[in-house]
Amino acid sequence: MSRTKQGPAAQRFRRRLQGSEVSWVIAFLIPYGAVFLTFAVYPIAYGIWMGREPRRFVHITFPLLANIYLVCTLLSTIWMLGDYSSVHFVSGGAPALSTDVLATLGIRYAFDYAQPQLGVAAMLSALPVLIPIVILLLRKVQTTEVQL
Amino acid sequence: MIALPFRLRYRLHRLLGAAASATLGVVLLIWSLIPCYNMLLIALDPEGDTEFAGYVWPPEPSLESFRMVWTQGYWYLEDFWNQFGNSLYVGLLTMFLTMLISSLASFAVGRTRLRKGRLLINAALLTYILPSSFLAIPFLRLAQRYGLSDGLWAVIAAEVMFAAPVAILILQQYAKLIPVELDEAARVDGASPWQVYVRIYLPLMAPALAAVGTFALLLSWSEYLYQYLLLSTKRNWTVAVALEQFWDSDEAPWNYMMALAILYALPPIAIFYSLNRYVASGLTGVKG
Repeated sequence: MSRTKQGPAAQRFRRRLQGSEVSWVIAFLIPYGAVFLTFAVYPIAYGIWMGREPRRFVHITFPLLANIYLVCTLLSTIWMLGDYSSVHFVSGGAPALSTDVLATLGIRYAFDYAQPQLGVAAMLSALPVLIPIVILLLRKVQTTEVQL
Repeated sequence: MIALPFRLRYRLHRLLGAAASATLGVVLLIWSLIPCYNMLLIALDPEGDTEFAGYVWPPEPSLESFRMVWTQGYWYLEDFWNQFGNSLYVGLLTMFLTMLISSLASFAVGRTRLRKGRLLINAALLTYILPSSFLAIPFLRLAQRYGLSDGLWAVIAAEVMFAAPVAILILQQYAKLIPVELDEAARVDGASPWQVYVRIYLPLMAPALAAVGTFALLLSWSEYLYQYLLLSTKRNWTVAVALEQFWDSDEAPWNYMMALAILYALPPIAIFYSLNRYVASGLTGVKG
């Protein structure tokens, strides 16, 4: 059985969602980001926050969360670059593979076309983007006391 | 133009700020909850096409689809409880192993003054250079080579591999809040490193352990790709994989699929909210 081909139900669902992949990715990301940032707000002393009431978000919350914003963004970027499920279920690469991402393309090559070496190569082509992001992430985590 | 007094301007400014924050919050809430609403809408519809018909609420809501899932009354659902048990088995073991491995690693690096310990943490984080889906093909080959394919242990190994690095990072950050003097006092009293780990480190790390345990459980519960690739026998499937067969069907009963998804989502929701206090304090270092 093909690993990535799907039935009419999936196709019907996809036709309804075509062109909205970006919104779905955002929909998946917002809850994660919100949870991380909510936890990050806890350690900010309430007294400091209350002291500068008019522009407290701009002057207090935002600067204190700057590092966690960066770490969250980098982590989200890494995770989304390799995200398979959202694309697989929402568009499945349709129409004509135009919405495939590296993860879905790699799995397609490996299982539908029985060319695992091609699949691995497709996925590894993300490395030039991923390596600088991970190095930046490691440096951020090392140089700051980030509480995830 | 009339210049408003400072106090009035301040109040207006504050009111506008609060209104903007509330609006943004409501928009984000609706945006995040729409998928859940759609799931419920379809699950409550006896025909399963309410969402496509454009109703805001099904005209005749029914719990029939939940009953069908519960009693395994449809041929796609005949192994539901077995698959649910598999999901639970994978989730709980992933949680336990992640907690064990990451707590031992963070203890070794943070408390025993391991030389080059920082490298170990960085090496763990470096696994994120490649997102998990990119490692699926090599992992599948590895599992086949070691005779683990079509087994739950292959899935557990994969989930632990992806959960452990973040878990180690969180535990290490939290461990900095615990004074090293406690360990030193225990050592002076003759405690071995293992006793320090079991009797001092683990009890004090309980909130952070709850946080990473919940994280690992949720990760394995919602993961799909590895379970899909590694489990081929229907008897070994988890619910996440079983949901996919509805997707492949020519006559997909969407109401059953959504009822199944809602039932599948309940245990992690219950666990998350029961441990919420510990999770928050574990992630932030604020005592709950």
